[in-house]
Amino acid sequence: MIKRLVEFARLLRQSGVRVSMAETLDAAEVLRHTQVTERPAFKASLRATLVKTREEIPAFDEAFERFFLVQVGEDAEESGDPCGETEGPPDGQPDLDDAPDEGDQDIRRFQDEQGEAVAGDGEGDPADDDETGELEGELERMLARVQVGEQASEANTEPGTQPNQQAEDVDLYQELPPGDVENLYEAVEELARNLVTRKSLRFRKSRHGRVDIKKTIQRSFRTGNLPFHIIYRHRKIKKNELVVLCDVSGSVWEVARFFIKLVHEMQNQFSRARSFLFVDRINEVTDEFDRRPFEEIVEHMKDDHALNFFGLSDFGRAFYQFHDEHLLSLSRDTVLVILGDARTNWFDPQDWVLGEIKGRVHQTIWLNPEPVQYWDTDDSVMSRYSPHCDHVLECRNLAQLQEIGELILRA
Amino acid sequence: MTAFTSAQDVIQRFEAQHYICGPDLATPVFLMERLEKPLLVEGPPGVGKTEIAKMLAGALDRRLIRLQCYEGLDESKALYEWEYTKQLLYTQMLKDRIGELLNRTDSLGNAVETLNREDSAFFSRHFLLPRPLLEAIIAPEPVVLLVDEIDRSDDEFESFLLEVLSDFQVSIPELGTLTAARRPLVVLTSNANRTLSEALRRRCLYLYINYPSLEQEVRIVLRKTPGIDEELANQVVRFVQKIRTLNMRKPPSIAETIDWALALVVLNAQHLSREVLSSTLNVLMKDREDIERIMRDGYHDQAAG
Repeated sequence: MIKRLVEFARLLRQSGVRVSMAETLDAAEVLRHTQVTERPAFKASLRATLVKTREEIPAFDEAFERFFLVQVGEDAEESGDPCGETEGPPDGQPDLDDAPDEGDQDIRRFQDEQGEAVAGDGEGDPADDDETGELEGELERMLARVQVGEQASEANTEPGTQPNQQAEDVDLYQELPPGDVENLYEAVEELARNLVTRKSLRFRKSRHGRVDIKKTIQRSFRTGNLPFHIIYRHRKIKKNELVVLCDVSGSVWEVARFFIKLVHEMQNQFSRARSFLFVDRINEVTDEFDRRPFEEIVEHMKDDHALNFFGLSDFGRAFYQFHDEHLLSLSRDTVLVILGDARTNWFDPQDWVLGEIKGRVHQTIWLNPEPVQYWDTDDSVMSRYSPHCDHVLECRNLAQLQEIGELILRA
Repeated sequence: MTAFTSAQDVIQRFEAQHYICGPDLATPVFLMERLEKPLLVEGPPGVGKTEIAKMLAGALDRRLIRLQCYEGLDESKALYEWEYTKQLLYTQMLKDRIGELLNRTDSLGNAVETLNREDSAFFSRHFLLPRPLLEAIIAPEPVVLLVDEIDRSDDEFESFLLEVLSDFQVSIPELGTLTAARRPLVVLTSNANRTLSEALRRRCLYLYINYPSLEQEVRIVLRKTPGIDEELANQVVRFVQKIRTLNMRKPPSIAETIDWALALVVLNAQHLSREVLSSTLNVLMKDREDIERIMRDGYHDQAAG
């Protein structure tokens, strides 16, 4: 039974679900405690122990169907291109839906074995009948496939296994293979966690500041004029509002997604975090970020016609529109972050708009994903915009992203 | 009451308390009780995450201890505090006794020594103010501990909680280590405001609750709204479920569906007409823009028809 479970766990890992050894053991424990007679309950038991995030549930469901609805016989082998399994889209598995009965049988067998294992540990394996043998064989084959796949994927991800050491220097301003992107997302998540923790630690220290004499004396009346409680002046934890304006045209997008991820992870550090995306028109996506997992939005955005994802970016027009529609919602607590290459495609930069916006907000930070030496070449008008910004920074790797994160939290 | 015998048992006992659920929800609940593992519940607001802990306490006849998390929650508010005021009061009241005690000593050093020996009198359980976590640990009977909205707390608190949850013991320097006599059942809820750490997830069983299916929600409404017509309940739920698909700023929760159904019953409404809708929609939707959108776009027509 344990062996099957381990195989299933391995299949899950193949599908991108993170399953630890401890969790597999939990699952084994769970199956011992349940009298599983129904498929939903059986599935729910495994799911509760092996899957720990919402995002992984679809992958689990799919893997579950695959594992416990394995076609007995040749079909499965035909579909078993060893590497296709790791790379193909999750819904690419054919021929699995038409064999629900056999699937249920599999589970029943699984349970039978479980029952035997619990009831009579000493008796050893009961004699395999043909069917079970066949199933065993199938699982063997499947296992082999999975192993091959695993090796392949290990080879693929080898360079990225220590995301924190290497990811720091990866140039984000280019097209990255999907595996690297995943690793970098994780690194960004971790980065955000560190930044946030550090920030709250700082606040904690600041709590023990100067003594508030007035309050201490007032409080001492309660304790017979003994100043038993020393009251400190609390530093008020002020939260800024963050507004992000992101150019998503062309290759800027490659960097933008990591920055947006960072902002998303830190969003509870701000009273409100709003995000706007633009190419030549701006589009607020704040609510979407709240509602959907980040990766989904990335894909969805390319189809959004309102965004004109493949158009020419026009900073002047986008800023003007922002000025027109959202100027009044800005306040002295607003930190405005603009991410873009400042390449206006020779359109009018309308930098005065940014000047006016700057007058209303607490701070303006411009992040440019291009290397500094390319600024102000061709149609880049960075120097027209930079007088209206408090900080202008290059933003093209994680180390810089970290500095930027700190800067924003401090602002 | 006795422990659950099966997931089916969970469903029945929850239903007895008017909480309707399927095996997807009941199985993890059953397992957490069996394995004595914490259960992490995630899902959109208002689908009954917190309710699970209450039902669990009700079904097992245990006391529910609730720890509401918020930003800045720290150990002293979650675990224990010394009751300074009480300590001080006692010191004042026992002044004479202390004076007497110290009169017999000849030197300052001796006085400190003597006082030191009485130290434990002032740092005893009498002066300890247990907060939810400690309360759950020292409770003589098994309890249900609800850690609500864990995602609102800070990262450090999460790590601290992890430590407590793993062995259910707490060291208080003045008193020593306190260990739980019976492990409490722990339910953690999260709205996914923040990504929880891997370590915490690993230690818990996981349950994601989504909005219920049409049939399930109709059953819930029928159960929670005495006197509602079945046809009306159907209309209500169909309408609510439609709204949930429309990307509202604040999608209606189950509790709001029930409130709305109750309002309709009180108003003696027979079916969802435009007038009824416009006068009661604010029970269901709590955002002005959402309400305007619904009234403008006339989703009610589709729902009613």
